[in-house]
Amino acid sequence: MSKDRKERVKEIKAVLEVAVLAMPKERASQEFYRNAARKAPGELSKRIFEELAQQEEQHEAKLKAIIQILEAELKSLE
Amino acid sequence: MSERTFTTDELAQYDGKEGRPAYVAVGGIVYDASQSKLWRNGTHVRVHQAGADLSTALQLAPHPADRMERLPKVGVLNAPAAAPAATSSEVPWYAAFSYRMHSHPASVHFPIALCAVASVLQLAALVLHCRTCETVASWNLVLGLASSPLPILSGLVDWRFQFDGRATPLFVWKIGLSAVFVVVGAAALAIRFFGGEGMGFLYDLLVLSFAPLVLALGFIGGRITFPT
Repeated sequence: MSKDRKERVKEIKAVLEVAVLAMPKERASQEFYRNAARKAPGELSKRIFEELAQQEEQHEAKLKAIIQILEAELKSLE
Repeated sequence: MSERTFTTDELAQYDGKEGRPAYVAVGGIVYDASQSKLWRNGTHVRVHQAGADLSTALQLAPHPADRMERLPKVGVLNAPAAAPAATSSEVPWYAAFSYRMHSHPASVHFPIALCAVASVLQLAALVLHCRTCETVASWNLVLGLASSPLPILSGLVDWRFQFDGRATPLFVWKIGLSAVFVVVGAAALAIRFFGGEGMGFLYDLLVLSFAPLVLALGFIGGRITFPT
């Protein structure tokens, strides 16, 4: 494997690790906001927390997509 | 006119290079991006290449997915659709419970502390020729190893379901060193309680090695929990 390729593989692995480590935090945030929505005293705050939970769910989905893309690129380089 | 069906290999030929058309598949539909200024030479924003299924990549796009509808459709892709990104609802209840109760961080400090203390006491036994220190060190070792199954199991469950079992370098090191921990511990106990004469040096070495080993495990655990 050429030096440039090795560097690229190393770079991708580092970014991949960042995305993998971030995933449980997104899930925990989702649960946090969903719990808050359940306990929210009013309709407005409930809706806001539900919206925040949905945004965290989208973050998690994007992280998963990033991971899929990086793994595919890693596979093509190795 | 019936729509054309592309296989993945056929689609790859329409990469927009050297005058070839630039086709892109999203959600099973193949679009012709050849005339789009945003797909010059089959490349989009210097990242995405034509001739491929970009369903997954579109999830990261700063523009809405329906932007693809502006491009003419030329067929359908005959390939398994990319699986939608899984979300937290797919983690089994026991894994979610383990993570919520912090099973791993709550239990892992017992074997780490007990085995680290075993190392320190073993060193004291060697330096001070203290038999009591050696005996207490061995019981710390027994308790440390006896308390290790729960953190090891909960760690593996967390790795599998919270981190999707991905073998990134940190997890490779954590799991590898955990295996070393188990092997070294079992060897040390075997020597201590069943070993013969002349194995004292090896036993001392194994017990002393626990201090750096559990420190390394704790450090890696910290990197996973508090990434920088």
